Amino acid sequence: MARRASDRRRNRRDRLAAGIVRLGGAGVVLAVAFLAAFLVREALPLAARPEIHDDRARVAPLGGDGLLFGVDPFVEAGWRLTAEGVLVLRDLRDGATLAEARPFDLAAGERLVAARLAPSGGVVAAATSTGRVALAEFRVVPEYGDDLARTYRFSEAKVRWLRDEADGAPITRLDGDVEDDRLWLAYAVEGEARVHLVRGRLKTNRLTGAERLSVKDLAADLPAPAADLALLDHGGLVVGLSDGAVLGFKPDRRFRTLDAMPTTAASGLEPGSGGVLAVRSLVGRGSVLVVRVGDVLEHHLPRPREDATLELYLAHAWEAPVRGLRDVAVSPRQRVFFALGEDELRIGQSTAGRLYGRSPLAPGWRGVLLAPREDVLAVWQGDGAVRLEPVELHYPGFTWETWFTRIQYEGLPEPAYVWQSTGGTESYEPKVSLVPLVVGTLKGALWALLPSIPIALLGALYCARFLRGRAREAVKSFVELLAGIPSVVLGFLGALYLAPKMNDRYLSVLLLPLVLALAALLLGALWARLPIQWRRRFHGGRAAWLLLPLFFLLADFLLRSGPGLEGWLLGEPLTAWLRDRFEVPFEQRNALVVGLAMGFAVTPLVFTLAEDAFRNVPRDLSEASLALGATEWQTAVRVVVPPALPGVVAASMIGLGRAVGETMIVLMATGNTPITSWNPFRGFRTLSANLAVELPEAEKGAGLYRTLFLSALLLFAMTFVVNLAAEWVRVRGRKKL
Amino acid sequence: MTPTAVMSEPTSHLGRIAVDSANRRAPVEVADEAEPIVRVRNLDFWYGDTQALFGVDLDVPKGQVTALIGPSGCGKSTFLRCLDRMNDTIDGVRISGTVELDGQDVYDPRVDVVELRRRVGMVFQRPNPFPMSIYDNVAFGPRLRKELGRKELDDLVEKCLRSAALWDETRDRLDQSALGLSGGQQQRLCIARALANQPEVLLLDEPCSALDPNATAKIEDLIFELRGRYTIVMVTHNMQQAARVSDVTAFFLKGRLVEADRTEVVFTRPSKEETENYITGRFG
Repeated sequence: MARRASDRRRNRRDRLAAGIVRLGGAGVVLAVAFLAAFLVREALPLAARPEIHDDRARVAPLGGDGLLFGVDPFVEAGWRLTAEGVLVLRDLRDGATLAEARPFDLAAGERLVAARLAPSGGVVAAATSTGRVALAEFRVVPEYGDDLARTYRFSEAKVRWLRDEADGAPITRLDGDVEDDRLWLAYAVEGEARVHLVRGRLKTNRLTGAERLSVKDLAADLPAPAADLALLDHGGLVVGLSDGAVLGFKPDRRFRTLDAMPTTAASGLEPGSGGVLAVRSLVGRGSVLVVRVGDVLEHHLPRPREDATLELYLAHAWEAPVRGLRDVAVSPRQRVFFALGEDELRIGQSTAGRLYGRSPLAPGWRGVLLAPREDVLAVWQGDGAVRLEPVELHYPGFTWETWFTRIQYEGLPEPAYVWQSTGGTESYEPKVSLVPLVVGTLKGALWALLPSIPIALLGALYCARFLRGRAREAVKSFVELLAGIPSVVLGFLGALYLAPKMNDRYLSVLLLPLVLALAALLLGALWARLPIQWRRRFHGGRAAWLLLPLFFLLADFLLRSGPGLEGWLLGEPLTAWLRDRFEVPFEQRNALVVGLAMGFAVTPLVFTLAEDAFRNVPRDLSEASLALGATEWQTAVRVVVPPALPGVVAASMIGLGRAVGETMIVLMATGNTPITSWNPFRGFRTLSANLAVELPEAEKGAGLYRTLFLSALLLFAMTFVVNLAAEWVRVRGRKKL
Repeated sequence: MTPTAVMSEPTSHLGRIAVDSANRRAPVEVADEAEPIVRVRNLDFWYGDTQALFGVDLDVPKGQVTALIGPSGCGKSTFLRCLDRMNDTIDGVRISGTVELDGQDVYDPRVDVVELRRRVGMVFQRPNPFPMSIYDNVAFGPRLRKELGRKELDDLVEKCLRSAALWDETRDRLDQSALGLSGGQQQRLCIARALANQPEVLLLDEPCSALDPNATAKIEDLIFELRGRYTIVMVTHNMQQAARVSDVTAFFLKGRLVEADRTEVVFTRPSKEETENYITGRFG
């Protein structure tokens, strides 16, 4: 009976232990799965497409007549600008008229004939029937009553006349904007084959606050009358002609001439031939959309050429994006636009060149705009009502194309992989190519593995096969101790010691392995000639220790004489020589520095694993080989290495995984420039360092934030795949043995 | 090829140990003054501080089979490994005394261990073929020295496999992995591999202990075949085996060589009491 009880206890304990072990294993798998699931969950919303919830639209009264309309950020008040120059503000909740303003101070009988709202909102360019043109800046501001109910009024409008000649010129095409103390206006007079660019400069007296406006008007001849035009930033402008030509202009530095830009197109694209219907700037005024007769929409942007002039580049073209394409509306915050047809619209994103789903549009619409917070699309209908349709844009600027393909960004000379997530202005477009980061990650790993894998593997072989007893244990423990150095220390070492020290010694650093290997071979040859009695004193692989002082002396000599050597051989430092002779750019914190610093982290890891792999080769095999008269080296190469190879490959891949995931060293020693270059003399930025740098500052839930999670997922996948492959190689190799 | 054997009477004295006399092989008649090829004198051996061999003197006659018997841990394997200096691969061992092969002290510092091990082949307790093809296993030794051409190597591999009585089983699968062979075949392959070095002495360290009786019988046949052409020193746990295949038997006990003599003498008229006790199964 007693025995039974003890058996039961034993069984219980056994089950308990098995349960705990299983729980631990499952816990690890669960943790990894959870991590992956978390990353996926955070990144997945990027895949969502913009949606317009037409079914949840509401309709509000605004009034029928007018040239322009707009809404406040909360879409609770809407304004329209009438031909009489009256700004009418109405409450979109109850239809009440909140305010009326007459900022333009028109003469009797003078009417507004054309007006245009700047893409960022808040600036209206308006032309009168007498030929005068003004820029008006105003905002709709909220006011809170005693009961905290929100109501709205107009802010004080600032109106500046940039063309104040009442010569009766019929101006119907115009665009204007304000850049700090500069006012820009582009216009064309009906029937004239000319385009005008007006620059106004504001000078404010600091004492009196009085403003003085100086205005200068430039004109350029056109081959035909302008059909429409739009301003670019810094006074650039794009004119579309009724004969189909799209021309870019830019004032010279002193604002004396208005110069035409040459035009180019992306490979495979040709500008359409249909007459231009509309030209609209995207926010930031870095590029324009051109609507042509025949339902063609084009995206043009000025880009710098080698001689610092600009060319007008056709980046994208869409045939028949919607039925009866008439115009486009643009987002006030990002490079998102709405192609507007007779009875449908379509959301697009210019940078990625993407068009998304269609949505119905009431025929006879007067205007369409996206509310400042991009959450409501307002359609001003023919009956004077505004239809407010909830919009979810999600992340239209973050697409597969922007992450992984070359993109022609505004202001860049050519399509490129660019990571530049934030900029100084609100209209700045985040550039989120993951390619430089992936390249940087692989480059860092490559340059880290290049020196460390041979050292680690040869060292492991030496330790496992040639060293004996206490010496072997000592070497192994010491190398494993190295693995414990915190990577922040290595990063520090790389950035603040190695980088400046290596600066004028690259030749020596690159020659060092070669010189040391030659020295070892030479010494080995000499060693074989020594009398056996001498050699026997250093049995068990300890002979190699004699090499250490020699290595130290050689390395010291080579590194000390580095600058002199480079001067003597090349006449200048190697880095300067490479730059001068081969135009190889050089940066002090570069892949070689990181490779060396990261080598301290990777080498011990690979060494330890590879040493185990070598040592795990059954002793039977090496004994059989030795007993057959093989030398230690023959035994190592022919008998020990082949079966250990899977383990060695696995060790190297785990080293690769470590190098790919390493953060601190690359963060500190690379300079973190996200460039796509394999040049070892330049810096780079890895996925991991990028996460460390940017995630703390990324707005939660924004596109950049989610893109960072995507890059984390990519990094996770990369290391996971590498480690999985390592494990696969190892297990497969073991089965074969 | 059969050894130049002169059949002698099966020794009736062997009745004292359980030997299946039908299986008993007739030993080769070798003159008692057969020239020793290995001469061991006053051999002491230490693993660290533990002495494993105490003043062993033994002559191994050329062309004969010498069996080393004794209980576990008596030093017979250690002794065997001293003959081709395989103990050198173990940390912290010390040795004194002399081991001469053809009159040359193998522990002389000027001796090339690699050459020594070519001349003294060894087969281990557990079959340890390399994880490569059967052909590559046999050719391993000759290839280390790169002396032979392709054709010569082919011939040598065939000859060795034939000598190891493995040719008929493997001739069609020479390029297949040696790990696909059965345990007994693997052990014969290891013998063939050792023969490919054309050694003068073949050391067998309990070559049958990991094998079933069938495979054991084959190895014993093989040892019998090889006698005369090679000097064989084998460690065995199995006294019947020693009685069946050896010409000379050496009995080790606690690191000392108790007795070494003609096998029939050791098994029938041992001069030492310990020997008698051991072979009659009183201990061990």
